[in-house]
Amino acid sequence: MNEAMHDNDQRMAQKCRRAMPPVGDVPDFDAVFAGAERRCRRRRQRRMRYGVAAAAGALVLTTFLLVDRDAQPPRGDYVEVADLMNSTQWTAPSDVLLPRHEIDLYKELPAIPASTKPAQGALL
Amino acid sequence: MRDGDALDNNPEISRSALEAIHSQVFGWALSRCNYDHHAAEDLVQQAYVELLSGNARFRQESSLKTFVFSVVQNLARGRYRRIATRLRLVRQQAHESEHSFTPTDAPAGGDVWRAVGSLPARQRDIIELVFCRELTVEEASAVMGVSVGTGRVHYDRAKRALRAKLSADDLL
Repeated sequence: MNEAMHDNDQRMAQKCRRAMPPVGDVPDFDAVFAGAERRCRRRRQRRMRYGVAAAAGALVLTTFLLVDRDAQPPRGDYVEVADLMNSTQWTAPSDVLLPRHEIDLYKELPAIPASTKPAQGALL
Repeated sequence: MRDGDALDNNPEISRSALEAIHSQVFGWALSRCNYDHHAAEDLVQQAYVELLSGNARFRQESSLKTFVFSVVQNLARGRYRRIATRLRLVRQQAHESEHSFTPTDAPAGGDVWRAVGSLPARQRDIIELVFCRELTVEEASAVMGVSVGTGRVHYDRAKRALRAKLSADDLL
């Protein structure tokens, strides 16, 4: 039974093989392979270009983010009212916005000349 | 073992081994592209590109023929089947006959091939691979990307259906 089935299959396979459409002219292997090599090379170059473009984009983005981060005002440099009220000293919060200058009200009071000589009803 | 003309990204494949199966690969590609020669040549070239670039890596888990057939099958399934259908539709609209070949206009042995063409896709594929491309059922299953068990089921059903069709038309 199995043998008969096998023969049947063989006969059917032969019929199919004979009925199969002809392949016709097979393109030359060397030409097809050379074309494939060209396509492969082009694909590699394209990927390399994309890679370079992506790396450049990433560099630009990173630079932009870093510059942006640096541009933010540093924390704690705002003028605190309590600090001003509790001290006689004051420092400008930023030497960019304001000239660097420190004063002490008591130390830098102008020296008042003392005199006991009266002149026309007033001290000199 | 690396041959002298082995591919750089696929050291298990040599150029001469590919050349030896080139006509069979083209025949299979032709069948995948509905017998459109240009589309088949493009498909074969694309398959070689995949081998050259190493995207499809041969690890000697099957014969080279089975492997390259499966690469062609995957490419055809993914891309070229749609293109071939579009091409066929365009040509039909333009009333061009050219070299396009479909199972319905087969000149010699046309009835048998029409019977094969009328089978469901998987059954048609396995019949073609086993009967016409001389692969085993195991190899054909690998090409089709199904398990051996599924392949056997398709093969048995295909044989039964084909036998019934050929007997009905008195062709067996």
